[in-house]
Amino acid sequence: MTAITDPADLFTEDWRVHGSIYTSDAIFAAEQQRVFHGPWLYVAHESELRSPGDYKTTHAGTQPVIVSRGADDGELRVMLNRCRHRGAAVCQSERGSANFFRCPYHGWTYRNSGELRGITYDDAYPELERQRLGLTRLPRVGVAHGFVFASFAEEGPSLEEFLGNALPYLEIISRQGPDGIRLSAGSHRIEYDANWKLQVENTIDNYHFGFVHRSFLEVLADRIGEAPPIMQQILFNETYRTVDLGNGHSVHEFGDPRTGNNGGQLGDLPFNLIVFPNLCFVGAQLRHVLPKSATKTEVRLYPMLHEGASDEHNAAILRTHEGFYGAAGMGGPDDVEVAFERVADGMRATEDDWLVMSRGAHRERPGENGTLVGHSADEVPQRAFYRGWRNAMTLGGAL
Amino acid sequence: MSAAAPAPERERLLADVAAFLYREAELLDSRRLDEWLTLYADDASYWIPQGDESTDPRVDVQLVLDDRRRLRERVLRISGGHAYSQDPASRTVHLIGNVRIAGDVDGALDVASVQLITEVRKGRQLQYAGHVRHLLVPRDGGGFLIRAKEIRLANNDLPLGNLTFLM
Repeated sequence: MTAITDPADLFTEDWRVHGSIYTSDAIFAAEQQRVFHGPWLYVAHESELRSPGDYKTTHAGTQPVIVSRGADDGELRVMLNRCRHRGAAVCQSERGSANFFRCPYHGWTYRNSGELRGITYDDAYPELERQRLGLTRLPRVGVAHGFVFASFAEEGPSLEEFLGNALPYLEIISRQGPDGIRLSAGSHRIEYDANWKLQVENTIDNYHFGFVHRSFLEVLADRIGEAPPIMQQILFNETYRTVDLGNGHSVHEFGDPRTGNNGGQLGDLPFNLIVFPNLCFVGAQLRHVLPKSATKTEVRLYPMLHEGASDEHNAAILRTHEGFYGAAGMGGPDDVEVAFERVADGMRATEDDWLVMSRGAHRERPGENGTLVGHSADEVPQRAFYRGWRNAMTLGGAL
Repeated sequence: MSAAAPAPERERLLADVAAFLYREAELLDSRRLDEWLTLYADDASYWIPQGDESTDPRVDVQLVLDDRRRLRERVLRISGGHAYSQDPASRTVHLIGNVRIAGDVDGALDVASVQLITEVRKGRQLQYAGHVRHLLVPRDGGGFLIRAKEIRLANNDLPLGNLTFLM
């Protein structure tokens, strides 16, 4: 097989998609430069960084970063978690509060805002430009409805422009509890041996639900004494719809996003949302997809608790979340098994390496603000994602 | 009988408790899950914490915190033939050690053990080690019922794959 070297050739007019998007190391490397280097990337929710000095560690694409709220000025910053001296990660904890980060290798110390504060035994550096050796910052940080984003690019669309039609949905999410939401409950960490995009695509894929989650539907049927209505709704309820929001973002609405719900479980959002490239919302959770390699991914599932609600209410949200999600859930592991790992198995057959992503393409119709609207179980969200992905990937030319 | 009984009775009690844990492990390893479920009291809880001793299920996400109803649903799901994450089913071997009676909790025996659970599935062998606690209450007609089981895995804060088999 000859590898495709021009990203434009990975897609056909009739929405066949080349399988190497999931398997190629060259495409993975290009993604880190083109998909994760330019756009805004989600890194934190403000509730994780309430007080000056608070920090968390996460990844922007594959790069380890520290997100901190300045101990002196309360400003949010995103910095590479790498000592400027000889490269050791300076912060080990997932979350905490600190005025300084001290590299354990040779004792270089940084303020939590990133400035280099101290070099040990520094008489050996007569001409070092200390002011240029702070932790490397991502040049832009922005907050939208409590969600913190950063970009490696000095210039480009503003965060508001980038989020575009996804913004109103983030606002609705931010108002789920009486006093908003908080990400204080920790996260489920899932690891699987397949490409990161499979998790993003699977976040809005109503086509799969009745198949992959048949065993969960059996549990629901046992619980309520009849077949659960979700599949009928997906197939026939016209207020259930998928929307390409532009810029790679997409949503599935279970009726009006301001008033509707999915007839579902406690804490569930009235929609599933994908914010390009790797932030997703489903059920009561924020899902942060962390690429590791072309064929390895970590996913963090953060239940969103309701600020201002009782501990009992929030505990019920957690138990509901755990029922489906996490490594022991009654739903999520079936996605890992089928939609990620069995796909990875199948992708080793490369003789005819093309996928079909055209479901419902003929009935996509224009919506408001340049959106495209389709049926609930159509592959509108997949095409929305790959329109954004293709735009980012083709800008850089051939691989 | 309580944990404060005289020495010979305590030894007999410890032997009975250990035999009960081995019996539970045998049912799990042979996937006789309906039978396994009968070991649990109606008000039982089955808990696989995420994080260390400071984790609080009221405010922190857990791997599993089931009541008896959801535990039954798990068995139903795994047994129904459509749970792909258990197709094929995990083969497990429970190795149990360090069994001791740690005390009494509200009329139940508080039994501590360590367990090494080896899981084989789809060409992979994985091992999960953890500290396990059982709260055991007398069963009508003899033996015990499980009021609570807690499985505190050593790797419960790491990224995990597939924990859909029962522990």
